[in-house]
Amino acid sequence: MGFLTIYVPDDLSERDYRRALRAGPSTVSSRRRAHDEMLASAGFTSVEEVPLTDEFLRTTRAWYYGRERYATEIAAAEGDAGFQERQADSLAQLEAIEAGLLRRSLFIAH
Amino acid sequence: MAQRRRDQAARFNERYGQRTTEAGSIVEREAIGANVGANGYTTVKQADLLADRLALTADATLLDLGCGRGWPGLYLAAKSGCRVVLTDIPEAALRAALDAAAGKSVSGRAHIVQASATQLPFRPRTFDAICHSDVL
Repeated sequence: MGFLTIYVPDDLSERDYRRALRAGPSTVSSRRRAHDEMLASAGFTSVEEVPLTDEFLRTTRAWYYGRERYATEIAAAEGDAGFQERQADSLAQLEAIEAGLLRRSLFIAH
Repeated sequence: MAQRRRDQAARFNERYGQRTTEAGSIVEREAIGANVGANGYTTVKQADLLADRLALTADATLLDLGCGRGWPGLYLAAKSGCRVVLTDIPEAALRAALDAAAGKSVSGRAHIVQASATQLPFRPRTFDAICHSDVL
C-alpha cells in the first residue's frame, strides 16, 4: 500500500495542535499517533516514510499565488464566495506549513 | 459529525462539478506539473515515486481510494499497464474520472465504484496494491 498524507506532527503544544487542525484541509489526519505505529497495528511489517513537506509548501504556494494571479477568471467560474473561501483556507494552510504545524509524507507499507 | 460529513460531501461535489478554466489549467500545471483535473498536492514527480515504490506490473490490480477525478490512479495504470479500480463518494468526481479514463489508453482497464473507503464492497485479496492521496 502507498499513500500520500497531510498530517499534524505529534509533538505540538495543545494550542499549536488546535491551530494545525483548523489550518489543515478538512480531511487532515488528527489522530495523535504516528503513522508507522498505526500501520504496524494494522499488520503491516515494513513501513517506509518519504518526507514531502518542502514539496507540499511549494505546491500550496503555487496553488495560492497562481489562483490569485488569475482571480477574476477563476472566481467567475467558481463564484466569488467559493473562490474567496478556498483562497482563505489555502493561505491559512500555507502559514501553518511555514510554521511547522502541517507535514506531508509518502508512506509505503507492506 | 454526520452533518459535517454531509456538508463536506456537498462541498466536494460542488468543487468537482465546476468547469475547468484555461487559467485554472495553467495554475494546475504550475502546481503539480500536469493537467489532470486535480486540485490537490500530488505532483507528477510524486506519482512517479509512488509508481516506483508500488512496483506495479501489467498483471496487477490497483485500488485507488478517494480517487477524485482519477489522479493519480489513472496515471499509474497508464504507466504500468495494470488494471485500476477507482473509488470515491462524489458523483461529479467519478463522472470526471470516467471521462478521463475514456480519453486515455487505460479505458478498458479502469473501473469506477462509488464507495466510501470505510465500507468497501470488495472481497479480501481482490487487489495487489492500494493507493490514496490525501484521503482520510
